[in-house]
Amino acid sequence: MAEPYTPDLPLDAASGRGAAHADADGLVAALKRKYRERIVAEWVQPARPARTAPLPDDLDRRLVAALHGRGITRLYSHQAEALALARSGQNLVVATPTASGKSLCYHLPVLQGLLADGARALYLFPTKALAQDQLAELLALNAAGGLGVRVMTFDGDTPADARRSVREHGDIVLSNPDMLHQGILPHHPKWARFFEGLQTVVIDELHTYRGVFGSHVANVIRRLKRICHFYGRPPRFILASATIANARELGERLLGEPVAAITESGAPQGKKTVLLWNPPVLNPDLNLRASARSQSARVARLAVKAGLACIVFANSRLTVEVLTRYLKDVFDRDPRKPARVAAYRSGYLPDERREMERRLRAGRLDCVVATSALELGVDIGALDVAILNGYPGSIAATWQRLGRAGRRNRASLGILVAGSELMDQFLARHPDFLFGASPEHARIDPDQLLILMDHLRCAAFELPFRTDERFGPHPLEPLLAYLEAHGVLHREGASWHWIADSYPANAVSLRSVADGNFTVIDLSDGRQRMLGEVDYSAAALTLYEGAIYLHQGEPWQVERLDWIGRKAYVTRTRADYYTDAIDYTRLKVLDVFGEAQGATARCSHGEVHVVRRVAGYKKIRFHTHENVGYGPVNLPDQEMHTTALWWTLADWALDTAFPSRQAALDGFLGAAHALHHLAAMMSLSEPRDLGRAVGDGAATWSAVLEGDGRGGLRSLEGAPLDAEAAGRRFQPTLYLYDNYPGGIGLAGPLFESRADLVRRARTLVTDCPCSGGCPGCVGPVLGERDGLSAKQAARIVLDLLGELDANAEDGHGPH
Amino acid sequence: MDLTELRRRLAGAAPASSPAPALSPETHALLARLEAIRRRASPPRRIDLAQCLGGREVRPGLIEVVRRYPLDLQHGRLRLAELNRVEGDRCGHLRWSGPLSPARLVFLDTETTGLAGGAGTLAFLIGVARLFADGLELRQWVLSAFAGEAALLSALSAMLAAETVLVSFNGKTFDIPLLETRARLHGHDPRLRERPHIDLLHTLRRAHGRGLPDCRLKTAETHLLGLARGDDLPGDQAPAAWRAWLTRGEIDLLLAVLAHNRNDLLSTALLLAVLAGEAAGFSLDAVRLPAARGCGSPAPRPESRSGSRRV
Repeated sequence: MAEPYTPDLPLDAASGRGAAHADADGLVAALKRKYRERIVAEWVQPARPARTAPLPDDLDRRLVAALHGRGITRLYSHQAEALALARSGQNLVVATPTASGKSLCYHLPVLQGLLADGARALYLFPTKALAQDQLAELLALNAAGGLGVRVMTFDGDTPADARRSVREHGDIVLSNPDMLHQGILPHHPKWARFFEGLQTVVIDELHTYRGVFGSHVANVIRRLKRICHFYGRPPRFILASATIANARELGERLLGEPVAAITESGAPQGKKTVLLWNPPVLNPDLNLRASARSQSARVARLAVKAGLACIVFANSRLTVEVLTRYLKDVFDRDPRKPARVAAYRSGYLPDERREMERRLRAGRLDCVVATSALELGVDIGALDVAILNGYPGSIAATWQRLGRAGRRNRASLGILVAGSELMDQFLARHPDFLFGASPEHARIDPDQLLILMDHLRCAAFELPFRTDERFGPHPLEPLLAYLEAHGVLHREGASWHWIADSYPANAVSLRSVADGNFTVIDLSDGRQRMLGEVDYSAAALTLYEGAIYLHQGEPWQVERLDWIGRKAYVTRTRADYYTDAIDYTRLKVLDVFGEAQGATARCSHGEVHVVRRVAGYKKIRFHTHENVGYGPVNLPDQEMHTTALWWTLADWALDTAFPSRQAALDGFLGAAHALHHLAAMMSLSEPRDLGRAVGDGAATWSAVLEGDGRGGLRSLEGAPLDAEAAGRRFQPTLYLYDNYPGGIGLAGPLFESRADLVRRARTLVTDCPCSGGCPGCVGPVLGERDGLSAKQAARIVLDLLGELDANAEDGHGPH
Repeated sequence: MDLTELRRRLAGAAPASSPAPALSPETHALLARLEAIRRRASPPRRIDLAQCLGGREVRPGLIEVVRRYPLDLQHGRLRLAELNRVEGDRCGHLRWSGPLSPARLVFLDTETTGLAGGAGTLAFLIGVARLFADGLELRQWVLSAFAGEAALLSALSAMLAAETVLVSFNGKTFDIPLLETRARLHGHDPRLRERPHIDLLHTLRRAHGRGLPDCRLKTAETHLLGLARGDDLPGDQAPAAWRAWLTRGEIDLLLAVLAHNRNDLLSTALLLAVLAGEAAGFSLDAVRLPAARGCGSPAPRPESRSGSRRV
C-alpha cells in the first residue's frame, strides 16, 4: 500500500473527501437511538496515539535520505523492531492491523542489505495487484533517495523479452507464489545469479496462505529452500500478516523454521466502534428474522446519507450484485450523474477493477459493495464505515473486513449484520467469540499426500533427490519409489532423477483444482464483448443456460454455455428475478480407514467418491424473494475422491425412534446442518472447506432439501423417490467430507473428536431458542412431519449418535 | 487407489480396522510393484551398451561412438566434399564476417529427454562433427547413466576449446541454453552462449523463410539437399528411447536415435554449404527461392547437377 508513513500527517485531508464531515460517531449514536434492540453487542477501541522510534544511526545514508524524501523522520515502534530483528538475521513475522505501515517493515531491512552488501530479495504477494502497489512504493523510495536499486516485477504479465533482464539484473524481484512455482524454480539455473545473491524472501499477506493454497505454498517454499541451498545461501524470511491468532505458528509451519513475531502496532488509530447487529424477529416460532440483506442495505443508506464513505461486504457474488442493485435504486437513479455506488468482485475485468480502486481512493464513490476480492490489501484508502452482510466464515476474515473502516484521526464504524445461518446466529448469541477470543488460527497441512506428491514431482524435476534428503517429515524413499513405479523418476545409486518428458509444474495449480476460467461473453447489440470471468468451481452453479448473470446489479441471461470451450454467452434482459442453483451430492465409500461401533451407531472414516450435480435452478424475485419458477440444468457431473467421516444408525433403532422414514430423513438433514458448521468451526476452517451430504451408504440415493423445505429422496439421476417404498434399502448415512480432491486432512482429526463434535451439536440444537428448528440450528427445514418438528427429529438423530460417546474411546482408528 | 495404499504405508503400515481386511487385488499388485522396485536398487543390466553401439565407455556412464565419413560420401544429392569449398559467407545469410575455415567448424546436435525445457530436461546424447583432410569425423557421446553427465558436458567443453565455430540447427534457442542449464547444475558455467555460433535455423529463415512451407530441418533437407529420409525415428521419440534403455535395458530405439542424430548432423553440415552459397540449393520451385538463386550462386556445378532430381 502506498500509505504515507508520517505519523503526524493529517492523512484524511489529502484523501479528497475532506475531514470536515461528521465522523462515524454520529452514525453510531443515531443507530443506537433508533435500533437499540437490534444491536446485540458493541465493542469500542479508543483512539490510540502513535508510538515511534528514531531512525537507527547506522542506517545507510541514502536510505535515510529516501525516508526523509518521503516525509518519514521517525519509525513506528513495530517498524523499528522489525528492522532490528531482521538485521540480526532472524526470520520474522509482522502481524499488525491493516494500514499500520507493515510494508516498511520489510522494505527497510531489504534496502539496507542491498545498499550495504548488494544482497538481493524476492517478494511474494498473493496477487499481481499487490505486487504493483509495492512496486510503486519501492520506486518512490528509490527516486526519493536516488538509491539506484533495480526493482522489477516478474509475473505472467512480464513480456518474454524483459524476463531475461529481470533474471540477470533484478535486485528486488516482485512476484507471486504461482510464478515462483511454475516460472522460476523449474528454470532455476537461469536464475543462478539471482539465487547466488538472494538474502531475503518476503512473503506478504501471510494469512492468505491457509488451507489448500497455504499447503501448496508451504511446499513451494520447501522447493525454494532446496534451490537456495543448492546455490549455497539459505535465505532469511520476512513475513507480514493481518491479525490472526497464530501468525507465528502459521509462519513456522509455512517455512519449516523458527520465526520471531511482532504483533504490537505503533501506528496511530482513530476511535473504532464495532456493532453486532441481529435483524428483527419476524416469526418467533420459526425464529425467522428479517433478511441480513435488507438490514445491510438500510445501514448503508444511512451511512451514505450521513456523508460517510462506506463499504459493504457480502459473501457471494450474487449477494453483491443484489445489494448493489438495491443501493443503486436509491442513489443512482439519475443516469446522467456519475455513479455513487459500485460493485467490486472477482470476475470483473482487471481494468474495471483498477478504475474502481482509483475512484475509491479519490473519494469519488460513496459506497462500494464487494466480495472478499477487496479483503486483501488492495489500496482503496481508508473508509468510515464497513458493513458485513453476514459472517464471512472466519474470525480473521471478519476483522480483515472490519479493518477496511479505520482512519488515523477519525472515528470509524464496523457493523456485522448477522444472517440466518448457524454461525451468524451462534455469534449473535455468543459475541465473546468475536470480541473476546483472539482471532482463530490459520491451518495448513503441507504433508497432505496429494499436494506433497505434486511438489515432490516438481522438486525432483528441479534437482535430483538424494535418498538421505528431507522434504517434510515423511520418509522420502517410499514416496520416491512410488514415483519411480509411475515412470517419472529413475533411481541411480543414492540419487533419484527426473526422466519423464514433461514439465510437472504446469500440471499443478496452487490455487484450486479448477481447470480454466469461464469467460462471459455479452452478445447484446449483435456484438461479442467480454463481460467478465467465472472460475471453474463456480461455473456450474452460476452459468447454466437460463441463469441470470448479474453484473453491476444489472441482469444478463445465459443463452448458451460452451462447457468444453469454457464460454458462456449472455444477453441483456429485463428480468425482475435472479436465479439460484439447486445442487445435490452423492457419495460412495471406497475404503474404510477407521471405525467406531456402538450398539446403535457407527462412525467411520475413510475415502469416498463424491459426485456433485446441479439438477436445476430456482427463479427468485428481487425484493420479495418469492420463488417464481424452476428450470432444469443439464451439466456434466463433478467428481472427486476425498476423505470423509460418516455416521450410520442401525435400522432397528431408526424404526423404533421415528414414526416414518421421512421423519428420520428430516432428522439426518438437520443433524448434518449442525454438525457441518460446528465441524468447520472446530477444525478452524470455513464451512466451504467441508462438504456435507446425507445419502445411502451404497450411493443408491441421496437426500436433498426439497423446495418446500423438507427432506426428500432422489435417485442417482435426480428423480424423486418414495422413501417409504417397501423393499427400498434405507440406511441413511451422514457424511462430512474434505471439499478438496484427495482430502485436506480435516476428516481424520474430526473422526478423532467425533464424540465432542456430536455433544456440541446436541447442545447447540437444544439451546437454540426457536421452537421447531431454524437456520441457526438445524437449517432451513420447515414444519412438522408425522408429529415431529425438524428440530426434534435432529435431536433424536444426535442423541442416537451420541450413544457412541459412552464407548468412543475404543481406539480402533489410527491415532 | 494407489495413493490410499501409500498413505497407509506411510502411516506406519497398521491398516485401519482390526482384524486387517483382505487386501484387494490392486493393492497386492501395488505392493508387488513397490517390492520389485526396492529389490531393483541397482538394476541387473548385463547388456554392454558400448559394445552394442559400437563405441567405448570413456567415463563411468559415458559412451563415445566415433564414425568417420569419407569426403565423397553422398548425402542427398550432395557430397561431403562440398564443405571444403566453404570460405566465408557469400550470400550474407549467415551473418558471418570474415573468413570461415571448414576445419574450425564444429557441428552440433543433441537429443534430449524432453522438449519442455527447464532444469529437469537433459541431453542424453551430444553429437559433434568436424571436418578433417580425409573426411568428416562424427563423434557421439551417449549417457548410459546419469553418472556420466558431468563428463559428457566437459567432453563438449573440451572440444570447443579454442578457435572453433559452432554450427547448429536451432542450437541458440534450444541446445545451448539446455546444455548451459545442465552445466550449472553440475556447478560449471561453460559460457557456451558466448561462443561463435552459426544457427542455421535463423539463416534458413532469412534465406528461404518465404519460399519454404516451413523452416524445419526435414523440410530444408527435402528442398535444399534433395534428401528423403526413409523411416527414420521421429525426433520426438528420442526421450522414450532413452527411458526404454534406462528403465528396461532396451536398446533398439536407442540405436535408431543415434542413427537419426548422425543424419541430422550430416544434413546440418551440408546445409551450411548450401546456405553459405557454395553449393547450389536444390529446389522444387527455383522461382520461389529467389534468395538461393540470386546470391551469386553460380550455374549448377557438374556434381550437383548429376545428383539433382526433379520430383
